[in-house]
Amino acid sequence: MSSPISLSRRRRPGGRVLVVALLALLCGAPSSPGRVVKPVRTVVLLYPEARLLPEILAVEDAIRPALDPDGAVSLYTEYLDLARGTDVEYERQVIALLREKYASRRVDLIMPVAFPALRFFLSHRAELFPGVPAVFAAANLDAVTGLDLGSDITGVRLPSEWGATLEVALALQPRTRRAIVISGTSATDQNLQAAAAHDLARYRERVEITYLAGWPIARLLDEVATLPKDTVVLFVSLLRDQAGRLFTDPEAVSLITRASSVPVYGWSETHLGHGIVGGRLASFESQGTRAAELAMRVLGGERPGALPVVDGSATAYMFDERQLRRWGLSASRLPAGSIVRYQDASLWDLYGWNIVGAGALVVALALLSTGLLIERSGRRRAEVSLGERLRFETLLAEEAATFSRVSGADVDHEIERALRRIADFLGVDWSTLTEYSEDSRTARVTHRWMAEGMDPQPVAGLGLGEIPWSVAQLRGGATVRFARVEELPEVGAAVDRQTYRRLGVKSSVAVPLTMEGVVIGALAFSAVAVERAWRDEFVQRLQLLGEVFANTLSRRRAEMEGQRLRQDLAHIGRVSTVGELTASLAHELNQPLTAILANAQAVRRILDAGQADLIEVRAIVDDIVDDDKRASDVIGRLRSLLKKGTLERSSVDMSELVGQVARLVAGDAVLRGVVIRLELAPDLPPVAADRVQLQQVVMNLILNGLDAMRDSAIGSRILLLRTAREGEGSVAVTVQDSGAGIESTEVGHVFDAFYTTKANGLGMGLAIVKSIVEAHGGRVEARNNPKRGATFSFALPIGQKEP
Amino acid sequence: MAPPRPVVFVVDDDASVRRSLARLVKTAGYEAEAFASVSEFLARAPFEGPGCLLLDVRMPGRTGLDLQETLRATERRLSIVFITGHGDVGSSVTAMKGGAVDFLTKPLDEEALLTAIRQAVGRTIDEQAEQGRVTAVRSCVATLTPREAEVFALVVTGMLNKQIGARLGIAEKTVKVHRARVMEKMQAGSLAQLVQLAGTGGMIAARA
Repeated sequence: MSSPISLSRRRRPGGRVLVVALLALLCGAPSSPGRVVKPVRTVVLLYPEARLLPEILAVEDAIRPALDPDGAVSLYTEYLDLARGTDVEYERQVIALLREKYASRRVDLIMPVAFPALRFFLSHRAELFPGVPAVFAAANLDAVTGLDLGSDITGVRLPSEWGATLEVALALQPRTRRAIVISGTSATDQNLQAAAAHDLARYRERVEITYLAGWPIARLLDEVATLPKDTVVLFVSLLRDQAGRLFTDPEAVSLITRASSVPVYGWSETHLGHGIVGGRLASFESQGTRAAELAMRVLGGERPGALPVVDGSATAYMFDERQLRRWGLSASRLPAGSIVRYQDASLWDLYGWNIVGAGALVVALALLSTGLLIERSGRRRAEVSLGERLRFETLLAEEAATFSRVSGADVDHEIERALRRIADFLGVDWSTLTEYSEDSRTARVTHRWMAEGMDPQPVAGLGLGEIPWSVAQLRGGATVRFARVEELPEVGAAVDRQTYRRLGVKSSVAVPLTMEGVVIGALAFSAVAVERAWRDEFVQRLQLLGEVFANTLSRRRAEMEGQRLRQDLAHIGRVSTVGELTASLAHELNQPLTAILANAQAVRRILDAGQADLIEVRAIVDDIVDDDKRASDVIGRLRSLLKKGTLERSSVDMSELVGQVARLVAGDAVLRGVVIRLELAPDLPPVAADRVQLQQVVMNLILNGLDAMRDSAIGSRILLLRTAREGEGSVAVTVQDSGAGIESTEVGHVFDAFYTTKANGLGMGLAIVKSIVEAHGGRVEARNNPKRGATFSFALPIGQKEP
Repeated sequence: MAPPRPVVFVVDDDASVRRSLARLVKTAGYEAEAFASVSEFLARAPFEGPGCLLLDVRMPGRTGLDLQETLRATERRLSIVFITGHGDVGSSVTAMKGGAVDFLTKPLDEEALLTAIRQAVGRTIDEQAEQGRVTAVRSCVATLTPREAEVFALVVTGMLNKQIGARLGIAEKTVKVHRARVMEKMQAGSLAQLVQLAGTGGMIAARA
């Protein structure tokens, strides 16, 4: 049975193909104009499943670099989702889409990976890719053997070594009488199960073999939990169970080995490390490498028919030391040449949680990834699910790197993007980041991502009291994880169970966000469509991610605090600036007030005299109105200067702004015997800036210039204010005085806070200038003039206010 | 014919203030002339009639205090009412010591302004009259011969003819003749009047 949600989810890959097809039509085939280059060859990889599985990744990781060392090959990948098996209508749609997608593109080679993909290709080759040669990989030997491949197809067969693995099991556990073979319902599952059955047929005499094919996972786990001691479990493949739940093999292996009462053996390197004892394991990497070699020869012009089908040779006896110990199996009974892994603490275990800061995390993750890569290339063997781990590690390293440099303003956006990316990777339906209040009594979902079609309302409104057990766990620093709601404690988590059921949550994992030992929130991922298990290592990685998020959030809190302080400081700076300007401002206000009063008195006298000249009276009243406006302007300018607030960007014409500020300080300049000269460029492009803050910048620089000329001769006190375009991208404002200049030893420090040469200065004026200009993405500069005095300048990037 | 109306010279760099003050003093019965700067005012032909200056203290270029200094140095008698946007003690003391009639803070109180202007105009008239008298005495003194001037200087100190003759080494009779010429040239009817004229012309102070 499938729920409507899972149906819609599964239709997505088809939709994606359609989108890709449309994009391809819009963009046309890639071309390289102007230069003669090697033609780009197009290779299409066909995968049988709907997802990027660890095994497929191992193949692709080997094919991609080998096939395309210099960008001369364009690789396309198609996930055929053949698990649908008998759905004829679906298959028809896939074929139609593929035909449309590749209609306008010359395809040079098809590479089906795994037998179901090869079978699909063989069935539909005539209509999809007529005459295009093919090199297949990882198609199991027995299925390919005897097929008529024709002259255009060659490839690499996947040897099936179940016989060898069962021999090892019998050697390790001589009393074994029964073997349980586990497989799922996907095309790949069925295909591999058939291969296993073929291999194991000859052991029927010695061992009783039972096939548990396509059992629902819950029943399967119950079954393996109670197996008698004379039994071994052989894990073949479980990509999909009968209930439609999807797994990767490593996930399924983890679930089964954890539940199983007896040792479990596998057949692929991707199983090792997830709980299997070991076995004769196949390397998908080797499959990819061999297939890539063949593909290169075909692309080089050789006929596939002339290249015999080869068998992947790199299978090896590989075992997990921890599992051998767990089951008390003697390593001395292993076949000669066996590789035993996990003899020491794993690399994963070496990295503790004491990593402080995202930067350190990046380094750690990079080292981790590099270490794994070295190990990988050194041994030429992938560990179980190495590819998938690496992908997840890479994803986390990228996220950690992103968050180590993300600015406060982008944090929300980046967190949501990261949640979406990780949720996509994990295949879950929603993810949330919750912040707890400082008293930990309330919580707020600050970021969330939900799969399409999900109703965000219930999650957004979820109260702490609705999942008290989970919250208590998280507050205690513990992870909450369940594959099924039933896994939650029946008594303790009764309320939680109810809530999760009401929300339709089947599985969930939540890790606490910890900052300096205090839990400040939680990061949660939930699956609604299907139940799914959460592997330990993923949970550990999520905890790492939680550290990154916690770090980012606390850094943002600090940034916001810093911003608030800067605003306060800027405000204080302005207030003190205005204090310095009191004389000037009083003058500014007094002039219009004087004129208004004198005019009013004049008009009263005229009226008292009884022989009013109305034209004269009218002129006087007009003057009064004009001066009143002038006074309001002064007050307005003063108010805007004293305004305290957040950065509000608008389009600012710097020439206009400098002119305004110059008028504001004109009185002060007169008082100080300074001539202010303006050289303001007309038609400057606007900058996106906070007008009030920039007024303050210009004001501070002017006052600084006036102060610098305090001891200059009266006639030589000149302050030159200039605006100009600087290069393509910015506007520069310079304030040039004819004062004492800057001591050469001080040039580098004039913008430092509390640095002052004035007896009564606080030393904040230029520091505020620098802080404001830099907050606007600009830069400040101070230098001495060749002759006399100093020039202070700043440049701001040109830009319109963002809509 | 009515006497000429006193002229108030308004000097302020703010056009609006200038215009409004000129308007106001006109409604109070004065003539008004407005100037934007000290230089502009000094470029005008020297004014000898009744009037006063309504002078802003601080202006671009030369300030009101500079003008006060210039007028005193050139002995031009025109009383000053200072107006300022921001009264600071330093400049008000300088202004008042320099003989300003008043030092008013903007915006201006009508009553105080007109009172100050009235006083200033009055003082200008007085000072100009005094200036006229001094000029007249000096022009009389200028007609005296050196010997007459010597006799004049000694007569106003109260010396007798005989004493003057002895001091100057001339006969008492000759002193008498010089004395009569001095009285005539100085247009003095009595010794007391001659002494007063000598004070006006600064002769006593000069020889003291």
